[in-house]
Amino acid sequence: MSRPLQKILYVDDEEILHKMTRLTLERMGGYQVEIASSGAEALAKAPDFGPDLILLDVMMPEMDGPTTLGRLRAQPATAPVPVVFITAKAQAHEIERFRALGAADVLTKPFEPKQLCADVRAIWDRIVSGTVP
Amino acid sequence: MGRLRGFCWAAALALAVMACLEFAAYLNDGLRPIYGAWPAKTDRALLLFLAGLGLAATLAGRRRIAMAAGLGSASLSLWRLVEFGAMGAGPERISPLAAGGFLLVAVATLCLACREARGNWLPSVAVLPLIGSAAFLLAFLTDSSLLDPAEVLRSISPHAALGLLLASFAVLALAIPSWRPQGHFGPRFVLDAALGGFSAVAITLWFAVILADYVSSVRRAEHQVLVAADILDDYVDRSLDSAELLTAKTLDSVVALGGVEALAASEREWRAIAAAKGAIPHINAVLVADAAGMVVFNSQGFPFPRVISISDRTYFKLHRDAGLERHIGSAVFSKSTGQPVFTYSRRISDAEGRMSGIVVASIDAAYFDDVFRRFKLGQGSVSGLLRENGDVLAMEGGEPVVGENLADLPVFGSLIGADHQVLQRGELRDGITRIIGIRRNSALGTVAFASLPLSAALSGWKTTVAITGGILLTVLGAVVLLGVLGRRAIRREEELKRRSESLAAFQDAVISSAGSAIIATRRDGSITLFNAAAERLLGWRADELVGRGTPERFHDPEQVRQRAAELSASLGRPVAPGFEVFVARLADASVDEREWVYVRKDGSKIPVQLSVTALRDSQGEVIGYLGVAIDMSARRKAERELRYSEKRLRAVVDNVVDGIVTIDAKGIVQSMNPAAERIFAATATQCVGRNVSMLMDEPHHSQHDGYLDAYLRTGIAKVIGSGREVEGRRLDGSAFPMELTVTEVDIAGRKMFVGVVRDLSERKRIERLKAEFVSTVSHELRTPLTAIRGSLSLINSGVLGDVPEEVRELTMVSEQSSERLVRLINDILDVEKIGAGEVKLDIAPVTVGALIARALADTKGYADQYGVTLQGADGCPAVRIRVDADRMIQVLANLISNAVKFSPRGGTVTVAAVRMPGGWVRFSVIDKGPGIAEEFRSQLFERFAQADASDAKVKGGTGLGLAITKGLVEKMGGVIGFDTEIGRGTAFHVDFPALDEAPLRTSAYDPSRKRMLHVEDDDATRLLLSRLMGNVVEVVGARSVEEAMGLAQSQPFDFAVVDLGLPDGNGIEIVPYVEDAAGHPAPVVLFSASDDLPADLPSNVVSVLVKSRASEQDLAEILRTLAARQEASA
Repeated sequence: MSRPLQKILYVDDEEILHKMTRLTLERMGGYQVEIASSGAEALAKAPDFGPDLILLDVMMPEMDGPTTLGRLRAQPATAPVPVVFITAKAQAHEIERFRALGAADVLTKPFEPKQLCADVRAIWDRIVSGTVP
Repeated sequence: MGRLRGFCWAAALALAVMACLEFAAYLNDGLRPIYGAWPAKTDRALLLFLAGLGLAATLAGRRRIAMAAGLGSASLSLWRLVEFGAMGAGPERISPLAAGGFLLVAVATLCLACREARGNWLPSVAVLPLIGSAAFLLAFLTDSSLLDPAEVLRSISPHAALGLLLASFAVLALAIPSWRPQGHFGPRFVLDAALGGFSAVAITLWFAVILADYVSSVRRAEHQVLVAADILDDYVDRSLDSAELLTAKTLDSVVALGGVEALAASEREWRAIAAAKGAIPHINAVLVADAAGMVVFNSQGFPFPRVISISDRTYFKLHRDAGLERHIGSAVFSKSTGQPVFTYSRRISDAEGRMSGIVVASIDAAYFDDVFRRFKLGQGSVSGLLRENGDVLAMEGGEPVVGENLADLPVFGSLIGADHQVLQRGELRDGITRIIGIRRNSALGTVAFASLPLSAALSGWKTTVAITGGILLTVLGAVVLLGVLGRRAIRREEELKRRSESLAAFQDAVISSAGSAIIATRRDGSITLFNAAAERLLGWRADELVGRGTPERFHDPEQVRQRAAELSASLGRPVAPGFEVFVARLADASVDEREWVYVRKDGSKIPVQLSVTALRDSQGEVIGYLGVAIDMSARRKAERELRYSEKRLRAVVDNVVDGIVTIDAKGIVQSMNPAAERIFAATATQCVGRNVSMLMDEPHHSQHDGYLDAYLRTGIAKVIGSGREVEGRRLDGSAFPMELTVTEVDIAGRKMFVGVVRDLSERKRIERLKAEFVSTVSHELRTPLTAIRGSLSLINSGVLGDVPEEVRELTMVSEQSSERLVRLINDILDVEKIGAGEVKLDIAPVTVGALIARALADTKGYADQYGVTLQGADGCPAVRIRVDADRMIQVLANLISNAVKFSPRGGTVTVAAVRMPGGWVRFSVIDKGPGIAEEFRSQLFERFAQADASDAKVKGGTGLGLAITKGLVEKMGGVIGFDTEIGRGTAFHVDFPALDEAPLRTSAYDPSRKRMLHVEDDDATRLLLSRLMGNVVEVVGARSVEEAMGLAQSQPFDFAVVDLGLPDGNGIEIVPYVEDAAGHPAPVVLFSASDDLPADLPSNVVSVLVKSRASEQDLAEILRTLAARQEASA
């Protein structure tokens, strides 16, 4: 499945990050970006948007990251889409746990625009080369 | 005593020599003339030898040998006595007298040998053999004046008698010490001397009586035989007189008729002679023979045919050839009757003196039997008639007479020229010893004798001996009985005396050395005893009070009056304020005990506890009083002090915030303070007496008894001494964290443990809250920070288009500030994580070269900013260490950025790695900065430590970098340190064990050092432990079960540390094979990654540490304790 990364769905309840992240990924990374403010919104938007990669915040009210991931996997349209967790509590054992849940990778907050773009590109390269299931 | 013993030894030796001589005589005929006169030499030799052996063994204290010798000697003598009783005397047996003597010696020896065991009561017995043997020897030495020597000799030999005497003296000498146990002759001696003397007198008297009786019996017999011999002689004289008459008449007839032939022819003469012969019954016939010896005349017939010739008869030849006138002939068988006869013959001479014939009267020997019968002396007596030359003429009892001659018998040997009358002792042909009376008739040339066997003579004496001997034995038995009873009485007496003496001595000692004052008075109160303690207590000397005062002297008069009033009231009778006050209560109580105030001689007062007892005689009458006073002042003071000290201690214990629980060596709770009650939500009464494990949560709850056992056995403690965090359990079962510090105390030899408990639940809660707070705050800060920094970064990156230059300057400053804020938050979180042990390390081997390269790469940009050059000086790029690579790079980067910050612009920071001795790698980060100020060095690694507040602003650091660095290095098993010099620069260094260098063995085998086996597949752990323990013990490492097995089976180890999870199996397999140089199982400490232990650990496992809970430092601490204990026990 050698294809370029085009669409990224960014899910985070922190709205102050929405603009900055969108600008970073669109202007610096050159990706097409859709934003969701909650797990439910992500589940609703994803099938229509058809993202290649989903960046999913772990700590969200009502439906947290892992739950949202489970729901995404349960929908046929979103089931195969790779998901990268974003968390502020970057503790090693949690990262292990998230990987075990099926996350392609884990990025830690706070992220810096250049670094974020580099990380996303690196993750996509790994996914494409098949080193991430 | 010494001289006595010397004598005894000499006696024993002499007895042995005598025994040897006796035995030699038995074997060697050459000695017979000297020793051969007495029979039974083997018996004597044996008895003498046994007597000597018994004595020697007694002297040497060999009781068993002495008793064996005594028993042997006694049984042989007794056997000989019994044999004698049954069979009479015999040449092969020792005489009954000697046997009896030796029996007594043997009994005495036995008594001596048993003396220690049975109390010493041999003495009377010891006297007996002495008396017996002395009597024998005396009789022997005084020769025959009293006793027939032959008889004595047959009874006992001089050797036996001398031996007996010697043995008797020795026995007596040995007995002497028992008579004078205290060096003087006591009542035992008096008793023994009296009874022994009495026995001696009794035995001597008996001996004298039987001796006298013996002598008189023998004398009587001698008199009898002499008289009998006289009578016989007289009788013979008369018998031969009649033969003389008859032959004279016949001779007259021959002369008257003118010749022999004429007589032969004269019938008238024949009738006359025959008639005369008929009147003499003992003359058989009268013969006349002619010169040729032909019998021509015979009173038995006329005319007598000339057919019988007597020319062959001796008497005829003597008359014819020797010209004898008269002759008494030997006994012959009559030629006419064949009966034994003897002749009385006379020579017939003619005018020229030539022999013309002989006249012979033939006397019937049997005629004398009648005579002998008439004066029969007794059983076995023999009398007889002999010619001077010993020819027998007639003998009693049909003894042969014809041709018999007794001249060869010793008794008749001296007949020629002997006295008229002789008394002899000897034997006839029958060999029986006899008393013989001999009467010689020199006129007739005959010898008459009468004899009586000695046995017949002594038959009456023997009866006397038997009867008196029986009486003597009865008397001696009574004496022995008296002796036994007397000794028992003496012993009882002595025992009583000794007891009363020791009691008196004991009493004296007790009274004089008693710590309490003891004062005795008479009934009236006058003091009779005032002991040393009383003198010390009251200041009075005993001689100032004894017999001169009453206890009132040292009592407080006011108190005595007060007590008198009390007693008067309670007893209902007036009690005078005097001595009566002290004893009034004793009428109805055995002891009156109360507190009084004594007044010392110097006037000072002391409180005492006084017990008064009445002293009563055996009728129960009061004879005095005894007071025992104990000084209470010291006790009062001590009690006060103790109460105060207890109160103070109680106050401390009760009010201390920490819980204090004491337990005994079995783990039973002894006490609990209020704080402990609060902590465990339990009251002391609910816990005291129960096992302390009730206050602990698992795993300690079920293992606590095991900890105690292990500690008491090995001295290796789980918690003792050091404060540990453990899970406690409240009475309601809820668990809570507590800090427990246990101290071992030894109270009067009893081990006790004091546990100080601090409830950590509150502290934990606060810590958790703090951690959560920090975490939350950090998280909450991060999101807005992300937005701020991201936005500013986007603006500054220019992707959003250009902004005015002034705005851009501000956004640049804002971005830098936000970055610094992010770093600060990250550092705070790191510090918290390291502090809480939450850092997850991904430990793996990594090369030094890779680490340095990445660290340099990561910090290059930063260094460039400061215009500082980074320089790598990697001396060992290929060496690997076990660390978390990212964290190690963080460590190095921290140090590098630190160095960069403090380096002058244009300076150089060197990052080096070198190999160190002992298998370590040292990373150094060296700058040429200002160095670290002296006063700052000690707090360099503390949080928020910065040399001055301005630093933070100037250098942009958070003040947490070095704290984090140190925490990480130590988490990974490394050591961090620094060298610095003011004005020259600073070098930080970080040391880690080099993997490939991890030695299995640190040095060559040295028997003087303790050796420890460390089985561990993790090289870092092994290396660290060997570094920690290397100066205490020699550490020998092994990576696998197989390797460890090989070492344990070939070398001794003083102890071992064993990891359980090894690549080729479970380390527990090795434990039983670890032995020390003496082959004993060596103590083993298990250091394992898992809690999961086998149910039954080998007995030499002394401690178990789990890696996640205990560090290498903890392990090293335990091992040092172990080594010190081994050192101490060695």
